[in-house]
Amino acid sequence: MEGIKAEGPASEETTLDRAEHREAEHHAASDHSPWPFLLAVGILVIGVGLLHQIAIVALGVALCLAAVIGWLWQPWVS
Amino acid sequence: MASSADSLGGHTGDDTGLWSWVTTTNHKRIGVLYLTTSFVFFLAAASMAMLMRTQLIRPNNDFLSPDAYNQIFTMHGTTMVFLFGMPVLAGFGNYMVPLMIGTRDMVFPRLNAFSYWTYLAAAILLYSSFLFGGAPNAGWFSYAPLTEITYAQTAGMDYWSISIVMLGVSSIAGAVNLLVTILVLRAPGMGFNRMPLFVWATLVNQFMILVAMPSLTAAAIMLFLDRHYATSFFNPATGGDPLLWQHLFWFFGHPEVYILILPVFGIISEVIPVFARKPIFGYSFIAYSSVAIGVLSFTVWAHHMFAVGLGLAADAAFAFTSFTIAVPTSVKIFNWLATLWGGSLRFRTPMLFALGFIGLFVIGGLSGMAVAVVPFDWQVTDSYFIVGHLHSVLFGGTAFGVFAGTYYWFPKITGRMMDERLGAVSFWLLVVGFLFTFQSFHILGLLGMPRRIYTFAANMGWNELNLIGTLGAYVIAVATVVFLWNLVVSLRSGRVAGPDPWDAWTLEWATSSPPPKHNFDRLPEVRSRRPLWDEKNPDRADYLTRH
Repeated sequence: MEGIKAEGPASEETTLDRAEHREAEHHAASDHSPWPFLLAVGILVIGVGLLHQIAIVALGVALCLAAVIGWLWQPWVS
Repeated sequence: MASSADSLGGHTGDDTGLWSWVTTTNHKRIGVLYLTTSFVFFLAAASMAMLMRTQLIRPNNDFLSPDAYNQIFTMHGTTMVFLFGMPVLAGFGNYMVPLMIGTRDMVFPRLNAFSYWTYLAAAILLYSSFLFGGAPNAGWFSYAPLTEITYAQTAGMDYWSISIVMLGVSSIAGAVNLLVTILVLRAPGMGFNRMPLFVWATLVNQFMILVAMPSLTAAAIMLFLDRHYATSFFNPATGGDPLLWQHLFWFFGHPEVYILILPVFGIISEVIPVFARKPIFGYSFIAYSSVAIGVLSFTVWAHHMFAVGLGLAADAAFAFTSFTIAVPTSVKIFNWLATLWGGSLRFRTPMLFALGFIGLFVIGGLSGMAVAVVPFDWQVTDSYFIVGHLHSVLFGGTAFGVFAGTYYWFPKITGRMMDERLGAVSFWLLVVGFLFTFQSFHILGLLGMPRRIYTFAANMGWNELNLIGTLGAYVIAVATVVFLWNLVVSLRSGRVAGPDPWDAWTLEWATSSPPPKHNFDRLPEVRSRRPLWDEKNPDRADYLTRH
């Protein structure tokens, strides 16, 4: 929330401090996750099920559940 | 995936290959995915436009069957609005906003990836309808009761409604992400009054998506329920009201026009001052006029429904609000002109497209004012005049702005410059093609040609104008091929851009091209609206004299 608080001129020290802080966060984080892709695939399968065979919807729901669980299980990034 | 593509997101070393793109949550890579995917769909929709114009090149033509024509104009409109227009602007927003506000990524990186993949899934589902009984065929606004199961018995409308729901989910998730990112991740010192105008426009745009998109998403679910679960929302035969569809659709649909143009206003507001070598004239007016457009765009939806008999009071009220929204739009136009006035203009390709945008968008805006006059609207409703107006706004406006943004930010995204000569050729071909195609549509509409007819009789007096319109469309196709060629050549062997090839002033130019994975090694201090200008010219810094 610092962006909102930081109205008005910022000192160079503050800017650099913040940049270093973000660098540390960045290196600690993974910027890859398969779960968003899997969740979208699950939604697509639900759509296909609604169009062609209602039983397929169950497969889509299962995929979505797996994706949501994986999403929550993977450590959060900054 | 080729290593040159991997470098577009600032990724190097082991972080390459198809799986790294599938699982990426990096805003630059997702931006590149949005931009490339939407451009593929632009080519698909443009190809469909060529098929339609070829069908209409002469009277009584049988190049396309009536049913094929219906499917093609529906998919053309749906693709241009939902699979090209919105995503290409989401692509620029994804790539540029975090850079312009000086942050490392979006606030919800995984949600960002989810938005993109849901968009792609919806697009695949929609296009698979061609393989399963035929594409949707009721036009991009799918008026009820034509879309009910009684009149549209193939599965095309089902594919359309489910895809629209998925696109609604994708857009809303993307809007939340961009909105929160802009609100909470701005660099220290970047108050609202110092945000780049593209960021301002994107901020307002996300609010509009959040308010408008649920209306269409809900309507699409209701349509699906009507078709398969015996509800009666829109079918008058069973007690439903087809006008409910029109209200729900246009409550989304008219803000949608501004959703497709507001970020483009932002692009133009970035390009013009850089190539006029002047600070933007009337920054606050441009920023706040975006807010005014955002609010007013939700008060004009029924001007699309003047012909349905809403009554005099409603017609007058919506005509008034439709005129009102021209005011903040005109404020932007006059501020851009004032920025140009007295500037040291550099007519590079982004500037050409920005100037083209102003001239051509005004044509669309003025014809929009014409159809806000109720009796005139009654005359031209569902005629080619409306097609001419819509395309003047969305092609002369949105497409020209997207081209301006592409030429402006291509060096930042790829590290290479686009070819100026090919850019100029593409620009002039597009201007000529635009004028021939869409101005002939205006006249055809005034001569009484209805929209969405697959052919016409030879004695209607429409032959020559349709021929001109089709030849103009072919010129646009040639311009697009030149643009594609420019993209390929520039990607492979364009001049190396360096971090700041335009001598620009906003933060995205303060890092390498393409930017590293973490965006910035060092962030310039933000003490005015032009932090990079301040850093380059400390003795003439903006914060010494203003803001």
